[in-house]
Amino acid sequence: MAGTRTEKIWRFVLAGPLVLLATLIIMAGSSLWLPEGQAQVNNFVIPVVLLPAIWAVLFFYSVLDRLGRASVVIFILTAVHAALIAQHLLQAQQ
Amino acid sequence: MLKLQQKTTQTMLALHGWGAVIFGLLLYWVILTGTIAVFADDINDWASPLPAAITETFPLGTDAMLRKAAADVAPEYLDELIVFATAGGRIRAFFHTHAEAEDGEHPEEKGVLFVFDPESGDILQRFEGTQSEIEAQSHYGKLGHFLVEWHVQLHVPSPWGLMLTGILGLSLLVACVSGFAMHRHLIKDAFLRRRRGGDVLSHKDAHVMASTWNLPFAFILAFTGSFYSLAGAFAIPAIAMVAFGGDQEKLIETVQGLPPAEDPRPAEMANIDTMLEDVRAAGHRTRFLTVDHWGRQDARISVFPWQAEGELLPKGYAFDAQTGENLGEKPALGQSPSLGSDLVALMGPLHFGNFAGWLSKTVWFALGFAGAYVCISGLTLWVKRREQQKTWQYLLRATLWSAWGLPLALVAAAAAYLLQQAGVLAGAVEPLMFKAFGLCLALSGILAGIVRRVTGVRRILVISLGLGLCALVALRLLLGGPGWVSAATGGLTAVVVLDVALLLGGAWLLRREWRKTLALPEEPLIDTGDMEVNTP
Amino acid sequence: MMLLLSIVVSALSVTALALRDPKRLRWRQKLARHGASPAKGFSPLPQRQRRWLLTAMLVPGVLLALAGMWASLMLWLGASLIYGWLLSEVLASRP
Repeated sequence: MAGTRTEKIWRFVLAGPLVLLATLIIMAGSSLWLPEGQAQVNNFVIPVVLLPAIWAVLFFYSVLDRLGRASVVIFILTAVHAALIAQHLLQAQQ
Repeated sequence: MLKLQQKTTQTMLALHGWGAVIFGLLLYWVILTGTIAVFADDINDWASPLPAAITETFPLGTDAMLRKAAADVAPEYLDELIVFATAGGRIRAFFHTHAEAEDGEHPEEKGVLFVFDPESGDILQRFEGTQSEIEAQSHYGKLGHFLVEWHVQLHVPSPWGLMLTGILGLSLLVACVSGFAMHRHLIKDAFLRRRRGGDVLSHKDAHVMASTWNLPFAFILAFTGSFYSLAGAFAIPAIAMVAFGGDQEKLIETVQGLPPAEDPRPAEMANIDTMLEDVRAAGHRTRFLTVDHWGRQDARISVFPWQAEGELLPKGYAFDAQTGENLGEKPALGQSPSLGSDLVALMGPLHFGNFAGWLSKTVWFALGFAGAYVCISGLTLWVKRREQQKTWQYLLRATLWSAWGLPLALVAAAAAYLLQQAGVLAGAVEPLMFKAFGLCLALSGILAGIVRRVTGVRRILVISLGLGLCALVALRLLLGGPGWVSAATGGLTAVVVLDVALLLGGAWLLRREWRKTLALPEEPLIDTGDMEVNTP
Repeated sequence: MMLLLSIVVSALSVTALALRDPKRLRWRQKLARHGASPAKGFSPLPQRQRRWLLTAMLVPGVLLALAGMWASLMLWLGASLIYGWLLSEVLASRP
């Protein structure tokens, strides 16, 4: 976790609040692409059950990888899911 | 165990250490109260037993009790009913509906709570009002509830308390992964416990050995625990918003199934005793049951039993409310079996360890105890490594305060419960428990702050806890609780077992402290050569 | 019954591993050189035998999992781990 002061602060923000937010968005967003299964519950139940795992993977990744790459990867994953959510909600409104 | 780059190991060590410094003490609170809460039901049975053990949780005559109660409540409260056992095997039936709370922001349950004597079928207590009003008046089961609330949300209002415990669960998950990753000789060191007068090495072995053996379960409990906290705090609302466009009703319909079309015409309810007998015949012991729309054409009845021997996942049965016909097993979620439903169902037994009665509860208690030990030994190790830095001595004092002061405060809360039950203390039971708990915690905190030597802090707190555990048993007997002979002949297992456990625990603590007093202050230092501390 | 048998097999393996654990015994010898009573009759287990015992410790769990006895599997795992920890603590506290 070496680096300049700014890097350290960014790493802290990324691994702390941002990863938590990313987890929430990825969890909610993945309910839109996961298969529903016969009982029509898998798509939204499995992400909730796996929530701690999603968070742990993102957290350790954000702490261990190069800061720039980790930020980009987490940002893309979050953005894709956020876009999915936005599209779904807009469709629902129409 | 893993071959990591030095930089990665350092990161892991930093996460492990600083995570512990920030979250360790609160995590210990959650783990310790959770460990004791494994026996919450039995603690309730111990504190408020009936004169003799009940033969069945829901005996023949449950149907009559519920009918009598249903005739005695306002029709709107027949909307929903939940029935389960509480302290000593008394039956608790809550007829209620969902009303808008006074703040107008969240729905609140409102209705009538009945407490029955299971043998005679008599109504022991009847409370009416909103759920919080009822909870403020009721007494039975409050001691266990007090413990569970510490564990679930540290008595912080929802959803903040859940978020807090959720984050604590995640921090435990990080501690498990980082600890596993940075410890190089997990299996080789599994039996290595060098005692050397309480130096860094002794503390390191104590921490590493306990966490090695406890690792799989610490991981399972952290995962399932953070699932429970975070799902309730924000995951379920978030999913409801996204997958169902904020339509909570649609979510409930998907999970529980479409309710039958509204049909408020009155209809005679089938006999619930027959349904309970049906579940019993399938080898199950009923845990709780729910009834929707009592006395109407569209009534629904579900019975949820404990796991039968050898089963891990809990079950639920649906019954036809008019014919009493068993409609078969219903999945935890959704209308047909699914992976998601099974995963959710699995979380309960894995977290609570309540799937095989006393056996599984004892194992889970021991595992939780090991987890609490790992917390305290880790924090002590952190301070030992920084013995020259005065500031960290405050953390050591805070650790000792938590380690012994918290259980001591819980003993005080239990004493307050017993005193209120016996009529010695007047007032509602929960505030009294809080007062006793807070007072005891504050006193032990002051002690931990002012006693000059750190060993003195430990000694005073450990001796107080040892005496407190024994005194709790004496208090229960003095206040007219059943004696050991009548408890044993009456089959009150919880009373006998917990009394013995409290006395043994107290005696063990006192003996341990006594031996420490006798022991020489420092054992000879030995060169450890190649067996030095191997973490950077 | 299967559960009890599984726990006994694993507990026996853990006991054998613990009593003849090389690192533990090396520490005991060091203590003995400084005047403590030596651990009599136990020599460190060779690597191969340790591996066998380790396998024997885990086999019951694999069998329970293969048989789909999940409740027993969890109880076996919990009981064996707690036994291992307590045994190591007891061995360390008794010279």
